[in-house]
Amino acid sequence: MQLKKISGKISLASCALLQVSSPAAVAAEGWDVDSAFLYYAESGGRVSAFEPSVRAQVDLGDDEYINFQVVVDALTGATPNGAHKSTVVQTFTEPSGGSKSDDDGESEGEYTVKPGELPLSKTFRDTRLAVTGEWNKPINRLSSVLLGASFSSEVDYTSLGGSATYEYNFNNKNTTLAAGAAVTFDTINPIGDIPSGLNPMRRATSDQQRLGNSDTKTSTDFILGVTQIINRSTLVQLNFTHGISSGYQNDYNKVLSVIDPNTNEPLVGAWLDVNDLPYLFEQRPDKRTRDIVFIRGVHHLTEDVINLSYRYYTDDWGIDSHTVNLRYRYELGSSKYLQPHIRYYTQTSADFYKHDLVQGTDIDASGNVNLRYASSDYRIGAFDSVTYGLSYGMKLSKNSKFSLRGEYMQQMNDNSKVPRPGEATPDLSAVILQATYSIAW
Amino acid sequence: MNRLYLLIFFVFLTACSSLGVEPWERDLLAKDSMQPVPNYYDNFYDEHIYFSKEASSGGQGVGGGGCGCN
Repeated sequence: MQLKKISGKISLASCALLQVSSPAAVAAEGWDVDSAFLYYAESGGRVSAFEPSVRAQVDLGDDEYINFQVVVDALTGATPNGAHKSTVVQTFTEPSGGSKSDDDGESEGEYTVKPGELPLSKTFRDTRLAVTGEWNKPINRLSSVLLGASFSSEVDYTSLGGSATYEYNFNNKNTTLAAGAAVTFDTINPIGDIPSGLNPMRRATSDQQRLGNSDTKTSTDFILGVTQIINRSTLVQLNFTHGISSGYQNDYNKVLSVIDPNTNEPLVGAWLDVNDLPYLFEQRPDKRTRDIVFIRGVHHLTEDVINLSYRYYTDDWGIDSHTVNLRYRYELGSSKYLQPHIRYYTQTSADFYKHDLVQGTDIDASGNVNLRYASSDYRIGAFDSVTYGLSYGMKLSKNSKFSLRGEYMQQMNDNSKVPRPGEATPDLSAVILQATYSIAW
Repeated sequence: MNRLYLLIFFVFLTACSSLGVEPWERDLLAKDSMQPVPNYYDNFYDEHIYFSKEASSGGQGVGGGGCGCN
């Protein structure tokens, strides 16, 4: 039995290294159940999330297993809508629009933002349910196939996916080669239908001029990877990923402010057409191609373990990023450990990222936009991000374990190209708390 | 660029053939802490959070499903 367990772990060490979903707990034939709870909260009352999850895996013997995972993602809060701060009150139309008036000074279907405040979307609530399943089927002593399926649903988004990864061991099982592919079909059903990209946001009381009620996106990814055991205490993993996404890739909630070149301020009130607000809906390309290099090393010191990874990402939207992740597992003895974690991330901006649109330059006097694509979503702008974290883990019994994790994330936006003072995109910080409990029998 | 990646990949693969351990030398490699992803949920939640807050994602594997959070 013990030998079987070790054999299973060796197999994991040398084989199933490519999947994000590689099992956390490994045992001989039987069940492993992992459960976890995540709390995520951003500063300034922005987004917070509660995310419980359960994952069960049944080992069928000879390295064959099936697992299922369920995640519930409950989100609430507000996110920047892409517009600028202004010295005057700004009015925005809610995605759902509207046609009546109410008695709080705002028209129904609209919301206002005070002078000097960063415009955030109206507070939203959303719940997402995601279910995934995997089946790992050994083909022979040296190779196996991992098949995966996924489904998720939220109020305005549905996703359906499938994946297959083939693994082959050689060099006395010290080298594992893996090749995989995945495809995901997403359907977007914007609340209030699809806004017309690079066209003005309309007053809630007017015709919203929407483009239909749903659109789709298809993503395909291919991965080629090798995992190599270097010596008794070190292994290295190298992956190349190539991915393509086609279809609707806008964030339908995001707009860009139109700036008056005479005042250097966002335009206020009606603009061109009396029913148009001075904000244009963003428009992104409908195709995105990405390449990723990922390398990870795991090294065992006398007792402790270092897990270090680096990722280089580049895509044809002009975004390049570098990510470094370092975890140091410090063994406290008695099956307890402390694990400091640091993550550094930096990205360049997309080619079509624009802090704002200037009337007369980006938009002519008739309201024609001289750009094909534009977005002021800070997430495709240039920024650096650092996360510091600490985990504490302990074995509760022979078959169960528990861990707690706390992390602090800071995103620091590059505001060097912001044309006017006082309009810098504010930095974001967030707290991440997580508890995990695993049991095997 | 993709050809360069493939070249690096095969050089890495060729270099691998002289590396490794004997079956009886896998004691440390078999520990939970030596798995590339020692805690599944730490990795799972991190992937989800950074996918929704950053412009790049992926690299560790394929599959797992989409999300309207980005």
